[in-house]
Order: sequence, then C-alpha cells, then structure tokens
Amino acid sequence: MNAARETRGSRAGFVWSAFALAAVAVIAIVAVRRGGLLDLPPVSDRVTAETAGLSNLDQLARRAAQLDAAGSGTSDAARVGTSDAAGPGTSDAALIAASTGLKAVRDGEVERGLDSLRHALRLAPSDLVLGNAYRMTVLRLRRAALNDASARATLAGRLPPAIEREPIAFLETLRREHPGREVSLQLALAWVDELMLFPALEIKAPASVESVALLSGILEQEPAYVPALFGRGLNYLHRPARLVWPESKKMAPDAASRDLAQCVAIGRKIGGGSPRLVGTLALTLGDAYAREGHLETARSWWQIAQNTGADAGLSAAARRRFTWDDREVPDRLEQELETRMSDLDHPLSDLAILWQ
Amino acid sequence: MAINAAAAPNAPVRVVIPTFKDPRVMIATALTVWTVLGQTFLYFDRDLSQIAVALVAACALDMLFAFVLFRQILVPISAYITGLSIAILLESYDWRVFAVASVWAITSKYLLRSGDRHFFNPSNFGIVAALVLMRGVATVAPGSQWGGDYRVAFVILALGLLMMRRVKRLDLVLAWLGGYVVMSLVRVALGQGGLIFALGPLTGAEFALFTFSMLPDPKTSPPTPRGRIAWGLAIAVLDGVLRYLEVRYSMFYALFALCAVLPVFRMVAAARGVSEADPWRTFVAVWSRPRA
Repeated sequence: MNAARETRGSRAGFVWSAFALAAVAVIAIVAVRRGGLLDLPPVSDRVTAETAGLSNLDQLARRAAQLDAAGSGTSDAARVGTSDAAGPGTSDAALIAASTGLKAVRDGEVERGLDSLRHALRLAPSDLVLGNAYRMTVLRLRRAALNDASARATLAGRLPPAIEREPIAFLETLRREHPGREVSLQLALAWVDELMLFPALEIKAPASVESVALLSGILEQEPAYVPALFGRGLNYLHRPARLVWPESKKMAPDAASRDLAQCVAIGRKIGGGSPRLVGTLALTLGDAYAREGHLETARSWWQIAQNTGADAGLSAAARRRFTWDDREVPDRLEQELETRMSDLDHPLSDLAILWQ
Repeated sequence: MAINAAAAPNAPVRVVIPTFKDPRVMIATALTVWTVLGQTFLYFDRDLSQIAVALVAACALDMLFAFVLFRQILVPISAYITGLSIAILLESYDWRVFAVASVWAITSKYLLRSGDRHFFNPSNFGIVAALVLMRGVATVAPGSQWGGDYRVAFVILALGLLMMRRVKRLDLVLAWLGGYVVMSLVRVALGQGGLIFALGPLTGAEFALFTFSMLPDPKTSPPTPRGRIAWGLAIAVLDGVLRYLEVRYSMFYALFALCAVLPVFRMVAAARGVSEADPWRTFVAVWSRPRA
C-alpha cells in the first residue's frame, strides 16, 4: 500500500517537474524570439560596412592624425601624402591643402586658411575627415568671435564676413556641385553647429528642422547610413521635450530611440566602432528611452555604456544618471542634454567620434 | 509589536561572542574582503568616511540596544554586516544618509519584532527606509561597481554560492536565482526589453550583495528547506512583477514587503500548532556573571 502510494507520489513529482521544465522552455523560446538579446530592430542582410558608413574607420583615424600633425607643423607632417593613408574618394593634394589651411588659421590668417580648406573639400568632397575639420574650424572661429563680441559688451556681436555665413553657405554650394551623402551629412551637421552656437529657440528650431530634413533625405536613399541615423536621432533627442516645434512635421514619440536603436543594431552587425563610439551610442540610446518614459530600459543602456569602460567622462555621465530618481528624470535629463549641447569644447556634431 | 524578551533590570550581564561556526562570521569576512577589493580594484569608489559612519552608527547602536534591553555586551557582528551592506549599497553625497540608514536598520531590529525575533532584514529595512524617506538624496549604487567586467561577476557568483553552501542557505539562494531567471524570461516574453537587460542585473554588485548578504539573513529566512525555497521563489515572483511595472530597486522592495508579512505567517503557523525550527540561533554565551 505504502509502496504504491510512494510510486504514485514520485510519478506525480516527475510529471510536475516535466511540466515546469516544459513551461520554462516555452517561455524561453518566446522570450528569445520576441526580445532577442537587446530588443533591437532587425537589420537587413544587404547592409554592409560601406552602406552603413562604417568602412575604413582605421584609415580615417590615420588620416585625421596626419591632418592634425600637419596642421600643427610637427614632424609627422612629413608623412602627409603617403598613399596608404588616403581614404576612399580623397586625394593627397586635398590633405595637403587642408593641412595648409589649418596651419594658416592657427597662424591667424583666417581667410587664407578657410580658402585652402574649401579648396581641399572641392578636391575631395566626400572626405569626412576634411569636411569635419572645416566645420570644426569654422565653429571654433565663430565661437571665439562671439565670445570676443560679448567680452566687448557690444549690443549685436556681428561675425566677421569670412565666417558670417560659413560653413553653411559653402556646404550648400558644394552639395549642389557634389550631391553625395557625405556632403549632405556635413551640411546637416553644419545646421547643428548653428543651433549649438545660437541656442535661442528662434534659431534652434528652424536649424534643427533643416538638419532633420537633410538627414531624412539621406536616409531615404540610404536607410542604413549610421552617421545620418545618429545625427537625426540626436536632433530628435535634443528637441526640448515640452515645446511644440511649429516648423516641423509631427515627430513620432519614439523617433529618437528608433533611429538610435537602428544605429546600435547596425553597429552590432557590422562591428568595428571604438569603445567610445559604442559607449556614446549606448548612453544616448538610454537617454532617448528615458525621454520616452522607459526608465528601466534606459538604465540598462546606461549600464551598457558604463560597462564599455570607454572613458572616465562617459562613465561619470552614466553614474550621474543612475542617481536620478524616477520623478526627476525628465528635468535632470533635460539639464544634462542642455549641458551636453552647450559643451562647445567637445561639440556634439564632431564626427571625429567615428574614428577616434 | 514590541520587545517582549527584554531582560529584567537585575538580570546578569552576559558577554555574547559569535563562534567561528556562526554563519554571520563567514558573511562578515566575505563582505570585508569584498569591500577592500571594491575600494582598491573594483571601482566601488566609496568614500571611506561614509563606510566608517555607517559602521560606527550601526555597531554602536546595536551594542547600546543589546546592553539596555537584554543586559548583553555583544560583539556586534550582525550590525557590522548591516552597516557594511548599507555603506556599499547606498549612494549619497550626504554622509548623514549613511548614519540615519544604519540607525533605522538597527532600530528596526529591536523595535519591530514578532515574538522574540525581528522580522525585517535590518540592512534591507535601512536601505528601503532611506530610499523612500530620503528620496532624491539616497539611491542604490549602480550595478556595475566592478567596472563592468563580467568575469569578476561570475567569480563573485561562484564564490557566493560556495559560501551559501557553507552557511546552509544554498537552497534559498538557488530558488531566488532560478525564480529570477524564470521571471526575467517571462518579462522578455511579455515584451519588456531583451534578454541582456532582463538577465544583466545578475552580474551586478547590487544583485550579488542582495543575494549573498541580505537574503540569507538567518533571522528573517525560513528554517526549513521547503520554506526557504518557497521564500526565495516568492521574492523572485514579487521582484519580477515589480520590475515589469518598472519599479526601481524592486528586489529591495520585494524583500521588504515579504518580511512585513512574516509575522502573519508566524501567527498562522502558531495557530495551527506548527513550530518553526530555530537552528540558526548561534550566539554562544561564553561568559556570564551574576549581577553584583
């Protein structure tokens, strides 16, 4: 009798265990199919490093180093012009012209220097390193001029003619002559430079709208182009949360996180980005989720950003975010984004993050 | 609820020293090593004065309560664990948070009791009270205190499980870990993020400290293996529900909520004539003397 009861008991235990295991297995399969590892959007098999704009990052890094060295007149300048350093679609003449321009600007010959940089870009319009160097040079010059004007307490600080309409004017011309994705990207980022320098809403709003329109134009042609996706995601993210932007089309509430998540998904598929780039993308995606109210997901991405161990600044930014209480996240995030936007020593629009 | 086992004023003073077999000694040792490594190699970045404040507040108050209420001079090993847990887990720019949280933790141990035992885990009580009552000032330290190195996390996990085996709380911890994994899968299946987000916290310092220091507290975990498994699963289920609802610090709240209903369980058990075994009482009185 007892033996029969024991047998029944052990059989019931076995059945229950099998049932529990089967249930867990089913849940696990559903979880893997639904969320995957990071709950990122799918990436088409046709996406390559080239279409994503992530090819030749090492070459770009070498080229940027050579440009810096040549511009500052160090001994490394002698290496400018070696053929292995030239990125696709660029020429050594362009690099030499750009480095001459940078040196001239540093020596105070602004107009000559900018002319030389523009000449370099005409020679190699799709060169991201040169385009970025031109934009960053103009940004620094305009910033210095504005600071100078404010120090003199003039009522209206007019910018010097050489940089008053730059870099937008030149990049618009260049885009008409060379309508490639790289030039359009530089022009879109030039609008971001504009809104960083002039954060008043009447400039910031239309500048952001222009930038998003240009980036959307690129993405219609090349939906996997990561720099454009990142730029547009940042634009959406940095729009003030509580303001309506009358000039823009209505933005989807998850527009920022969709673009940034797509960036991360493509980056994971292609690989090759520096830890700093990966960490920055993760932190920014976390910010986008936080803006949308998905705080747990946001904190997970901040955690991933911190785990990359990319640099102390990124780690500190993630740690700051962890201290935010749920209720204060919207305000603190807004402050953090504003601070980031106004950090012109490390401009948001600096493409160097791609290759540094 | 109040203390009903306080010693009579003329009772003899006893010195209470834990033996080496006391599971708390191992937990305290592990926690100390952990803190030293954390401060030197693993990016805990905790201000030493904050650790000191938490420890001194917890230990001094524990000794004071024990002497006044029970006529005991004790080596405050429980308070040491409590204070150190609070010091590592809490994060605040204000040192007073560490003192206040430690005071609340130890006070809960003596003032919130059912029968002759406290029912809240003291460090859990102190942390939850700090999170709720000092909102915006106190938070739990971010999970990747060991610099995000998953290898460190797995070493800690392995050592922690070995330690739980020695202190006879492996069943509880495995039930909690298993329950956590299943609830994570359920959350992902319901559309909440990806597997890395759901399972990632397993590798964090916050999770490890909760699992290996807070959860196995002998006084607030059931005495029988089945009870401990049910206890671990219950915490995991409640934690999973809270996480699904995007409640931050969910595991601390889950343990707090379940500890809060412990007296009811004990009352029901007593009403049914079921006596809880009490095998974890490990204080050893090595010296006692009658009061002069």
